[in-house]
Amino acid sequence: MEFETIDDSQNKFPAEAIEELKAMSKWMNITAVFLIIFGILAILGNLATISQKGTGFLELITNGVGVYLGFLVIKKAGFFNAFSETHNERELIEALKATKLYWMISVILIIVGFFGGMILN
Amino acid sequence: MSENENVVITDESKTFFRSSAVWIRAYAIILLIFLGIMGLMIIILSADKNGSIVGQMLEKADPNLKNLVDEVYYAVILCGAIIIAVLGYAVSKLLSAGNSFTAISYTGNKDEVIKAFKGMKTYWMYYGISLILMIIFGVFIAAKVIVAGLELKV
Repeated sequence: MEFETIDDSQNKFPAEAIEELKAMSKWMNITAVFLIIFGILAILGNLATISQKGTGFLELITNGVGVYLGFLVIKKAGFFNAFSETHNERELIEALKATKLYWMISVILIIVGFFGGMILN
Repeated sequence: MSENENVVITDESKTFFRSSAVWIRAYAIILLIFLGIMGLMIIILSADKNGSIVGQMLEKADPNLKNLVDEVYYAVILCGAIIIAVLGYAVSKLLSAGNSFTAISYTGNKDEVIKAFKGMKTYWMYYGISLILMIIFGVFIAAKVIVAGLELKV
């Protein structure tokens, strides 16, 4: 006699996670706005002092990338929000692609900033 | 089954969960190490201001500058400690979310999906709060510096 086991805990996107996604998207948008503003202010500061510091050019690049990351967070939040509304798997995949890109660039930025600062100083 | 639970986590999305998890965990670990070092520096600087590097620099500095720094030294230390604590909590949640992403990529377990996005939400919320705190503390310390500077001139 064969028994069919029903396991509904695998490979499903639960409603509770969708609610967390919506809340996460809101906070991502808020944080991204601050990151973009801080980044732009830092760039303006860098432009004013670029000739006086050995690390001026490196700081300009890292702050520029920081602003780009802010826009990437907004894009990521948009995809997650769209997924929470439409439950379309393509939106989730695009959101995860943007997530991977964001964290990859963040790690590279920290490493480049740290070692670049050490070398140039 | 609710309509939401018809959304299936496919092998394609699992691939992206796995690849994202690597970078999320790398970032979280690097940042936790950095925040730990900053925390240690805060403890050392707050424990013995006069004996610290800052204290020794102040001994050789202008007396007016010394008084100005006295006004804001502990305010900066305290604000720094609060920001580090908030960011440390946020990043620990991010690391947990990264671990859950890895679990999702192998098992697709519903509980791990909830845990992952709860952790991510907590990270972004506390990261946002830390940025707001930085602005508030920045204004507070700038105000203290301006007031201390004005008192010196008087």
